[in-house]
Amino acid sequence: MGREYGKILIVDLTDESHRTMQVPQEVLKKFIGGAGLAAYLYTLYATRDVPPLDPASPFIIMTGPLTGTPVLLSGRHGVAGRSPLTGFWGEASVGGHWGRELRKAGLDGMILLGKARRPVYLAIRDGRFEILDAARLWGKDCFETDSLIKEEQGKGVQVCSIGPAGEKMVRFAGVFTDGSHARAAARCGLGALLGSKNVKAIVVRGDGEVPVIDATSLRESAKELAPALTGKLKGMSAFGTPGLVVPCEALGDLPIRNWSRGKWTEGAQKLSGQEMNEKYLKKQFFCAGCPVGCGRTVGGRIDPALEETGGPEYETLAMLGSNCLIDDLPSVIRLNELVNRLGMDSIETGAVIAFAMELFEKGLIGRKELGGLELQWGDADAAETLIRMVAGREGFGDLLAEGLKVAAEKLGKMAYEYAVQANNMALPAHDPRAYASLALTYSTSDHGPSHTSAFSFWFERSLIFPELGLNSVADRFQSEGKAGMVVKAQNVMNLWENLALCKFTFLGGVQLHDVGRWLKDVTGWELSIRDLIDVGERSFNLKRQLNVGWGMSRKNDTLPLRVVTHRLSDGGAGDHLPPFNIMLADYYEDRGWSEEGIPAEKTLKRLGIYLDGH
Amino acid sequence: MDISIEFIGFPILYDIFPEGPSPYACDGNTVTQLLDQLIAKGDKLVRESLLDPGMGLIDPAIQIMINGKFLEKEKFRKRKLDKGDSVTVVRLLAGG
Repeated sequence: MGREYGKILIVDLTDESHRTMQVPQEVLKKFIGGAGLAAYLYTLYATRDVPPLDPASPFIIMTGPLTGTPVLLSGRHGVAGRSPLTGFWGEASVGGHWGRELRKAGLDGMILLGKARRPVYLAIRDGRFEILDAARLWGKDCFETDSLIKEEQGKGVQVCSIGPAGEKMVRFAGVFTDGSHARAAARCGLGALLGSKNVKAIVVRGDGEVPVIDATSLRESAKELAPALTGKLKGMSAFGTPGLVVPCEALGDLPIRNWSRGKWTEGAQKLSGQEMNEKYLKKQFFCAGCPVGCGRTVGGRIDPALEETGGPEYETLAMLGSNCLIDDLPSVIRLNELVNRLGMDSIETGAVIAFAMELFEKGLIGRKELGGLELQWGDADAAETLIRMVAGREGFGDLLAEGLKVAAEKLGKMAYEYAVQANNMALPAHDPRAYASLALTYSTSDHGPSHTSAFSFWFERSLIFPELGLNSVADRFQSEGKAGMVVKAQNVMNLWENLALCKFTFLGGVQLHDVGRWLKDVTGWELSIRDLIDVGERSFNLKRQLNVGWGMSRKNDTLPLRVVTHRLSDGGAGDHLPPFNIMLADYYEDRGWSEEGIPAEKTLKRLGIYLDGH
Repeated sequence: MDISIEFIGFPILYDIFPEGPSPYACDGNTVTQLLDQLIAKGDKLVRESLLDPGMGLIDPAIQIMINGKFLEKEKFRKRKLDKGDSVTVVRLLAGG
């Protein structure tokens, strides 16, 4: 056993000073790590009135105590802060290899404060921290940045960086790792926050061991669980998330033509994981500590310039593919590569392109606004041009770079009707008309509409979780019992965020008692199943309370009207619409919140949440 | 008729049908008849996994591979199964 978990590097970019802090044990037992601990640390380092892109707005990177240990699928980390996109709490987690490297370098997280006077990148290696000049990196895309830094610092370093979009503070810019494999912490626009601080990249290289108390026990546990886990996740290994395109279309879950259609069978076939496997798959991509390898590396007959690149995930195939009616897989692969290079969230990017395509179709914008661009549905070349305009904040792209709601309000007329968003953040590519629980998951999420914030639809299709009292698969269209189910799912997924553990472990059969055992082996903490669930609930409510401080209440717990009033009829969701209002009322009760969506005093007291100045 | 069957993407069926093909005595001749048999005679978890309760039909997300090749949905009713066929029932619903 070496050091304890909870060592955080705090960097003041304004005066170029830095120091480390050790998070006290009693705080760690309440939040564990990851996004929950980031939210707690946020309350220590910022006051409520700090705008998202103000120099005083903290940018936080966190691992979890399991990151980089022998625990399977534990190679993740996350970024957090006040979202430049929504103005509320923002977080995004990512796999790859950066998080493990940070822990090997002797750190568990970082908080960046202030603003550098010039473009810089941060380097942590051989126990040394440096702030280095990034003049020659500024303007470079994420892949180029990765390569250039590795030329300077050696191939063994891990790099996370922003692209040109982050530099220009596009409100949905992300933070990318693993070079051309492009693992993206992209939701909530935290790449813009990093860009606002003039930080291009953070580079780490560590030669140390990740501290654990009982490595033998951890390895035994990994050995015991690995066969069932890889067996249950065999589909993910074989097809990756692209394998979802066809089944999601069949269920009416795939967004098509800016969420206006329910059926697109031929198009879905063309974008399928099977098609990708047969024609373009070069190899699987494995995150640190993962035997599954759901990531895709593609190449071949796409574009002469594209030898090998990270393949699009399901979300990207849906948002840049079906949602824009682009059914040519090589084109979507190419657009995905472009978006990754530029450093933007492919969900949000696909959403603004589809929005603009619908505005063009309906005559709300024309070639004049688009600088001569003919923006027709399904036109990948036009989409590419507009993506470049967004990343460069050129012309109409500058407006889209502010997010769907802001753009729609500025455009006026009927534009708002076609902006499929909540609090300025696009809905990800699963439809609340196909899974009723998603209506609650999106509207009440602690960091904007995010399918991964609860993965509630798993419990309506393929998963039970007896430790949470979820003993049978729920009917996907029914409202009864969904509020309680979503509360449980949000709490447990918050726990997973704090652990920085891949959520596919749920599908691999990992249970709370496994997590309890791992935490004991790593940290020595003895946390019961109840304690673990409380950690998730506490984190969720802490973030809600931060959001309440920023003006969030029931008025923000909304969904775009298109997904609550427009029947798809022709697809796998039939005529179903999510019974949103009934579920929301139940949800507030189950959460212990007021009818206005504010956590009650006794709820906060029970969870030990006290916020001053927020 | 003796065939083999494998489920991919059904974590809750793993204890009943572990990884890899399991021998199965199929009463019918077609893919649809095989699915009907699994629903009628299978465990509660098998039924829950194969049916879409909201629609009361076989889950539209289910895909079938026969001897390693995907079968188009419209052929489920007609495709004859032969002795020794390897049927893979695939349902991918993770998301990310």
